[in-house]
Amino acid sequence: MSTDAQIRPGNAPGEGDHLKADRAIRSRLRTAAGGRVALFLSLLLALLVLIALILNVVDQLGGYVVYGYRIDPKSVMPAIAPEDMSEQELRDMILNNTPAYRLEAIPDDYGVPLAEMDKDLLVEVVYAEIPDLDPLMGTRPFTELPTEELIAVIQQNVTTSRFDQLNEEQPLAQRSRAELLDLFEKEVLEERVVYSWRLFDSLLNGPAIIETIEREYPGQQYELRWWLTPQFVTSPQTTRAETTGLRTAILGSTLIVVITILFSMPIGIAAGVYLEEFAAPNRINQFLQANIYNLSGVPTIIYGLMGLAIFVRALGDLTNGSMFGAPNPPPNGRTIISAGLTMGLLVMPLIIINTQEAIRAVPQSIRDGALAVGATYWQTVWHHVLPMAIPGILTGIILAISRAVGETAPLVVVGAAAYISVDPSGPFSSFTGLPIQIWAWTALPEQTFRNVAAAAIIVLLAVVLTFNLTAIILRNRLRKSL
Amino acid sequence: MTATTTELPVLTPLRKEASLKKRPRRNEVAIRGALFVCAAISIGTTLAILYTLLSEAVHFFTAPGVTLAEFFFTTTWAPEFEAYGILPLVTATFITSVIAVTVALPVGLAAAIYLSEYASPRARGMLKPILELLVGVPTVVFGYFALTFVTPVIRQIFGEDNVQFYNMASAGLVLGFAVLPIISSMGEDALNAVPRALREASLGLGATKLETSLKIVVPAALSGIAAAVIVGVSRAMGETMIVLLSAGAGPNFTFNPFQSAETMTGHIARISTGDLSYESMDYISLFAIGLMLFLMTLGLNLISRWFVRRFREVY
Repeated sequence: MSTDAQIRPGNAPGEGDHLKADRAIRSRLRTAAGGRVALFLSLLLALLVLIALILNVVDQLGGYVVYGYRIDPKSVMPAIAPEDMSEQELRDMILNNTPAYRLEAIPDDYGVPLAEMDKDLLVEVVYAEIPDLDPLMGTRPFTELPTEELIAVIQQNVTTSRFDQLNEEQPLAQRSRAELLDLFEKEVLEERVVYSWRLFDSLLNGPAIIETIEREYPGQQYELRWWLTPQFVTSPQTTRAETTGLRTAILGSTLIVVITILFSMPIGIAAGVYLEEFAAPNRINQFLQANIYNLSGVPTIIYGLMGLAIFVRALGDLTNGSMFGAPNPPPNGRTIISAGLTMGLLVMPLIIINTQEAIRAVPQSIRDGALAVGATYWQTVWHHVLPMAIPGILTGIILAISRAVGETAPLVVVGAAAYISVDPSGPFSSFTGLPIQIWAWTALPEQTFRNVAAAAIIVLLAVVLTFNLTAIILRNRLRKSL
Repeated sequence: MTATTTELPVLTPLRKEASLKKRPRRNEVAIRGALFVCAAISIGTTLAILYTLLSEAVHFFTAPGVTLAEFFFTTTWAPEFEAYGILPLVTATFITSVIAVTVALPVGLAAAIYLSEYASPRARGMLKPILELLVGVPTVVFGYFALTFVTPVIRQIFGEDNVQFYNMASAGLVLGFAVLPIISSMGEDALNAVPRALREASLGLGATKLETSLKIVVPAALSGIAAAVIVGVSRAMGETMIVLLSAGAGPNFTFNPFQSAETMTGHIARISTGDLSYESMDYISLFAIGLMLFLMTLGLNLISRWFVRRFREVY
């Protein structure tokens, strides 16, 4: 043994050791396999969060709702004159509202018993005998109103512009009675949701929910309502969740993004070209580069504060259009152009950095070749480098657009108005945007506004994720081709 | 086979002007100048940010009743009562950011390790877009998620009496998933920069893949990972919409994550939506908070870059 020990190194395996080692190796392999699964699950967690986020939004996109009226139908119905009532109605009215001693005296005073009176006489009795007539009139349910009167009531109770708008969509006189009643409920009585259920609950427990509704809200209307409808996307904003729409916000966002890109794309690409192709590695250019990286890390709300101080306040006369003679300029610079310029400065570092990466990926041989046959630097860049870098630059632009569409904080600070019912007419109008609307609606306590916000989120996500997916695919193709 | 005569081209004698010496080209210089101006606009942006923040902040600090000591060391922020202590806003910012990074670091790093060490190029091509899509989700949507999903869940788990409706825990948690992509993508870059030879040596000595990843590759990439974490903190501090919607409306000096408290960004956003007079303390105090936030995030970003440069192992 002792000689053996001298030959073998100190920690070489002895007899039986290989069993121990075997066990140790097995346990290490088990850990390795478990670790691998754990790492993979972490990655899946990101996916799960994304799915939970989308399911949570979808869950609020629809569901059973119970309606009630915000306005008491009695208060808007026209008073029905006794002359328009039927004989039976007149008789009931007299019986129910005349003091008992007068009721006994009526047959003597008028010469005929109540049951045998004709209509003219009944009307006379009503006017003569019922002390306080006014509150008793107009109690007929609105569903019995004749069509012409229905239209008249609608006209009396909505604003002129809204009435014209409704007529423009389809003249009221040409609509069916059912459509008019529907319109009356929505526009005049301001039919609103008094309680709503989530979508998945509604789909899974439909019958139970209907039973609850019929028990707790007898006689009230209910339906399985979808909040994301073509009508929601195309109608202008109103103050009520049931009728509001996204058009104002979509137009606002579109205008902001157009200004953002028009402003930041040429400057961003030019800056990227300069830094990559022309800048000598001196102090100034190193500082430029470091500055751009720092700018990309500045919190977006700081850009908002800068926009507020410079574009809204200091340049207010420019950005509200009064210096260009725009009619009815807003009182301050809280306009689309201020928002677009602020957003332009915000996405510029993104465009510059992506342009630089795209240009860096162009092989040096292309430049050498062009320069060797006598092209100037600019000719080389313009005719050879830029065309090859275009897909990469485009990826940057798409990401910048997606960013500009979804970015909310700077717009909040620059002064988006949460409620605007008029479509923006140009760069000098006040504005709202898709993400602003989502924020404003989410911050309200009513469940119905959460539903509307969910519908707006689906629209926003559809736009933003389409842009991002396009950029990802474009870049992956690019990597393969280079 | 006929003999061909080749005519030599007649060489025109060189004129004096057409010397081969490099001439200055005016167009080139002009274009180069224009491009430089475009690049310099970014400096203009930085200057504009610094100027607006500084000038209004100077207004703020020179206003009667405001002292630097009060600003940094007192714990009530209530401009309507002339109390300007920024601490409650700062603590809320820190608490939400720390929760965010506590969530994002393990998950993001594990995702980065899986992508860089385990996934085949094919699997990587399919898994990476998940994280990239998460980047694309606008933060206001995350805010909606925090308020309508995470908050109810947290309140159910910990009891409605213990957790306020607006609370920092829910905001921080969701904030974590918002900064997760940046941590995992920076982390992956750091892991990829570790040379192959280290991995092969470790595997050759009999280490498992997990041991190689955790004991060799991660320590070698530690500076890059630290940089990723710092950038993650900085992003979480600067994020607005999630905390605006779900952390609470109103400064509150507390260290309990289940209570509501307003962060710096949330406060700036909430106050600026009101009707602001440009002379009011409400307005100029926003810029003082903004300056503070700007310096904090800039500091973190610089530290992160310095970390990468200073501690990068040169292979």
